[in-house]
Amino acid sequence: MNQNTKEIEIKKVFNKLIENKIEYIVLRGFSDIPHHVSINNDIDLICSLKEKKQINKLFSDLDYKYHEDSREVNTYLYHAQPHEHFYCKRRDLHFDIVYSLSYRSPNMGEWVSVHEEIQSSIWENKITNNKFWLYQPSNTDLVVHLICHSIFDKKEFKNKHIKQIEEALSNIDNQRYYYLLELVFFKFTPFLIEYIKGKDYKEIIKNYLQFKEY
Amino acid sequence: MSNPAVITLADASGKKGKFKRFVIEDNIGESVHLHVDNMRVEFTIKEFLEFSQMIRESLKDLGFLKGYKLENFDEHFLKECADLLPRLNKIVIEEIELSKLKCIVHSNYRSDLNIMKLVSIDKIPAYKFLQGDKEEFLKYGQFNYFGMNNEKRLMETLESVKQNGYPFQDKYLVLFNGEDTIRDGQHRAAVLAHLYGLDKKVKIMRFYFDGTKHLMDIDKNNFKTALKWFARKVYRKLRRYLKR
Repeated sequence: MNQNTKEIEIKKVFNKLIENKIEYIVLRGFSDIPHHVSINNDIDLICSLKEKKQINKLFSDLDYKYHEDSREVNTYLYHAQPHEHFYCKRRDLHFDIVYSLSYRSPNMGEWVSVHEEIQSSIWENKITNNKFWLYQPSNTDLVVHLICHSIFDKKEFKNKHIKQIEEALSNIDNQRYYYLLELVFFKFTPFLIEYIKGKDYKEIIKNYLQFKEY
Repeated sequence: MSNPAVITLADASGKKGKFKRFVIEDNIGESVHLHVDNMRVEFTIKEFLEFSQMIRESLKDLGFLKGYKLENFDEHFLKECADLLPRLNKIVIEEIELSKLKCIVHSNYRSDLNIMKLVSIDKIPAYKFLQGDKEEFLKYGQFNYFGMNNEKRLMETLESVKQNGYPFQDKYLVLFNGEDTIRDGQHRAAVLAHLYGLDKKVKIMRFYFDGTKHLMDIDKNNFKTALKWFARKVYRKLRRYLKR
């Protein structure tokens, strides 16, 4: 599938979401859309759980296949839900949909929903951009999400996430940034902020897991 | 409630016994929690370390480990056999040839059915790893402390035996009563066999318990596990069928 056709196919999905008034936010990886997304590099969206059925129907009508992460293999805590995957090999496209911000615990990899205020903040402060996919988190929510995603899900800070964090950091609400991070990292928060500020990404995860000052 | 980094440090919950829930959790950045049934005690790390030191000293004073200290054992092993410890009668140091020892190994059937078997040291994945056949041990499912993996753990044991000898800090291989099955110390046994050969005689620690609860009937255990596994499969199939 050539790049133009892929772009048309992605636009088709977003147009349908907008036409059907389905609320969504593209979570990350903005610069990959449309030309660098593929079946292996998915488009991550957060949607509202109350629209789950509509979303399923919408993708099914567009001839996407469906797969839900296994509840037998994974553990979901505090209202976390399995990721839903809508994919099409022919189009080389994959949409990964979540219904809450949840991350993998360093304990046994359980999926844990983060604090309610972080969940509501991403919706209340979402911004509308001038791209065809329209909605993305505010810079503050984006940085908080990418930090959590890197520490808990990826267990490392990948260069592409560092780049997004650093681009967004220049324009954030510092007070809210601290407040939201504190809901996840508690007394480690001031140290975490210093590491991010000093671009010392390699030390963060080890120092977080070995943190003792509480 | 929503700290994703809640690390279970120990879980001794069970259907039998006085407490149904007994869990210690490290809520990174927040506090350490001790859950005993519906009660939760919150500690700072400093308080928790003081508390555990106090417990160590109390157990020593009570002679719970027949003259030995908690530090002489792997704490995970003591936790695993905690139910048996009130029946511990004596601990004796003996000598035995490594080739006479048996080890419990686990193997998975269809990824989720865990079956146990008794094998000699030269058949365990850790020994095979040290002899160069690495694949099985790297995938072998076993308890490791947080931040540890199979290879790192075994290589650290190898280094310790090379540097400090065996037994180090009175930490012996542990056997129960008349059985020659290693209950704690498979990695050390693998290292000793690798370094000195299977004919080497080593000192072991034998726990003598009253009663028969400590005995392990592997066939009976496997039968029960397989039965439960099968029942679970049937239940899931039925549930899926009824949902349609």
